[in-house]
Amino acid sequence: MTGHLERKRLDARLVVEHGDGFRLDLALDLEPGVTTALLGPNGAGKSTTVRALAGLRGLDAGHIQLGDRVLDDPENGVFVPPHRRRIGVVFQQHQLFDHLDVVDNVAFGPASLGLGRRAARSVADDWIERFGLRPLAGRRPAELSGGQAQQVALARTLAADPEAVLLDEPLAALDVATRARFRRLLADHLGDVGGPRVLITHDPTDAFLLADHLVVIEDGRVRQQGTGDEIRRHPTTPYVAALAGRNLVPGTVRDGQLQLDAEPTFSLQVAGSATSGRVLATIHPNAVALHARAPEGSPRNVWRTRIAASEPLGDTVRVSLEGPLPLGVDVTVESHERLGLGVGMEVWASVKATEIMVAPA
Amino acid sequence: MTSGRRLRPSVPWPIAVLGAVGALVFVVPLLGLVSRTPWSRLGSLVTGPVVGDALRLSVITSTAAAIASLVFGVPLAWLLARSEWPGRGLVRAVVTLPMVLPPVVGGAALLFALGRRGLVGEPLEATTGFLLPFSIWGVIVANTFVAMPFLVVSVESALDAMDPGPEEAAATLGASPLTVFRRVTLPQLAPALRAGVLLAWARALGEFGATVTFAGNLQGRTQTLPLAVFVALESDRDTAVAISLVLVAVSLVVLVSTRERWWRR
Repeated sequence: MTGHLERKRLDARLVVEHGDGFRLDLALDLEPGVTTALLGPNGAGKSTTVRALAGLRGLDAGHIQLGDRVLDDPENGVFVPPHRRRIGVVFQQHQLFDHLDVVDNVAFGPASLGLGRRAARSVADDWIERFGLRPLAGRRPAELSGGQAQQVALARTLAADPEAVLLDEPLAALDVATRARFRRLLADHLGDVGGPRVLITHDPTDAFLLADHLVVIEDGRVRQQGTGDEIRRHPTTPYVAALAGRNLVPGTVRDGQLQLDAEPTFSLQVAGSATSGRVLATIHPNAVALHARAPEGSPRNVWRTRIAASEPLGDTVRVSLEGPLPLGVDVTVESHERLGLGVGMEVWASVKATEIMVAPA
Repeated sequence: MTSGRRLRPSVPWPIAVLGAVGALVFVVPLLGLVSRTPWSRLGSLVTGPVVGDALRLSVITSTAAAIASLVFGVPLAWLLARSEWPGRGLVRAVVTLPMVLPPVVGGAALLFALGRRGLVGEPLEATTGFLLPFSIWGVIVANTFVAMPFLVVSVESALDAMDPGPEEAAATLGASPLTVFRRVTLPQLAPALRAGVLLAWARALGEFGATVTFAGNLQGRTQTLPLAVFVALESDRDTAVAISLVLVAVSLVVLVSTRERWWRR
């Protein structure tokens, strides 16, 4: 039971109108074997998208097609109910069945697909083994931690052998330490789904770490899509710019030093010694200071670079730096003029160790 | 006792006085009953054939009514809470009507519908020879008529308050609506079902008006405990008191055994 051999594409145009005037209108073309992150602020329509794809809410117009099966097409009176869609969902709140133990929760999907009780439990046992949940097998959801419950929920969804998987903010309810572990679990197991995988999130770190393709939605519409790099390089809305500007830097932390993947000879000092190993570091564009001369005193992370580009973004100017660390930096219009920043100019950049957020990757 | 000293708020006197009066409303009649009890003859009164027949009939019919309420009332509550159809509001009102209707009126309505000359009763007797009134089945129908609304109301409000999350999750896992109902909805309804069945059973046990109107008052066939009490009050007060004590005892046993937590607090 490791996913379908036939790999199906999910093609959808979702039009959903809410009573309050909100209108979702998205076109999605999701390839099998690819994880697509749907990234957007609260109220962008992410949850509505999940509910429409899963069949928990009907479309007002448009269509949903998985492989050669039409799942929803209001113009032609087609609506396939959720239990016949074979689209698995991992919910933000795990939504486990309180009255069933872990094995029976995971066996629920296989049993619903018509396997006998014994066969369903044996499928569940395989997933429990694979997820390392054996010690929890006899527990009820109330006896699990948040992270454990979400692991069981993921196992339960995958055990139903879905043709596509929707992950609706699966990390949002978890604490920071658990989130890193669960993120790794997702990275390990999403590959088991041969079909399209959709990760709904408002956290760009999750999107950049787990997804191959990003779709940014705002106000019920697709604003931008592409790979993480493409979106970061050419943000088209302030929300994307703020997201993209977050300077996500993959690397390795050892003894409080972050070594960049892109430039192994360059390293930055990071605060705290708890994290080590593969990480994705986040540096906010406001956290980087630019200087015309070598700065004296506190910040220990100082390096020399050139300005690759600069473009105005409202009250601030987004300055892009060249290597070794190609960051986006926001400076005020005043400092931009005071420093006389221009493309090609040589500057000193500095960032405090405490301003570098590190998430285990 | 093991929980250490717990500070409780002091009791304001108006609340204490009014609350005590409220409790007396229930305690005084019970004391009246106990004070009139012919303790020395109680054993022989209670084991007499009239009381024995009525007790057996009451337990059988109210249990049957509780089961019938469960079997038909839960699906009915689901239809009222979870599906959309024309006339739903009207049906909900009609279903809850017996809770406020005088039971005698309910009994009369049952008679006009299911009696020998009734809307359904006449063709039913013509085709099958089966006659509901003046039989134990008539008692069960009358009991169900007055008891089921309690279960329906209890279950419907539980369905309304239920988080749809687990049911939706079950559907995305491939469970058909019937499987979702059986494996996810019903287990979540367990507390409401317990309360609803208990209420329905208790209501059926105390049922008088609809039963006497629809099923009559035949000892050994349709005379339940409340009917026996009413008859005995006219002729033999000691027997009436004895039967009443039996009813109180049976009701208390059921309340205590099913709602043990209430009493331990």
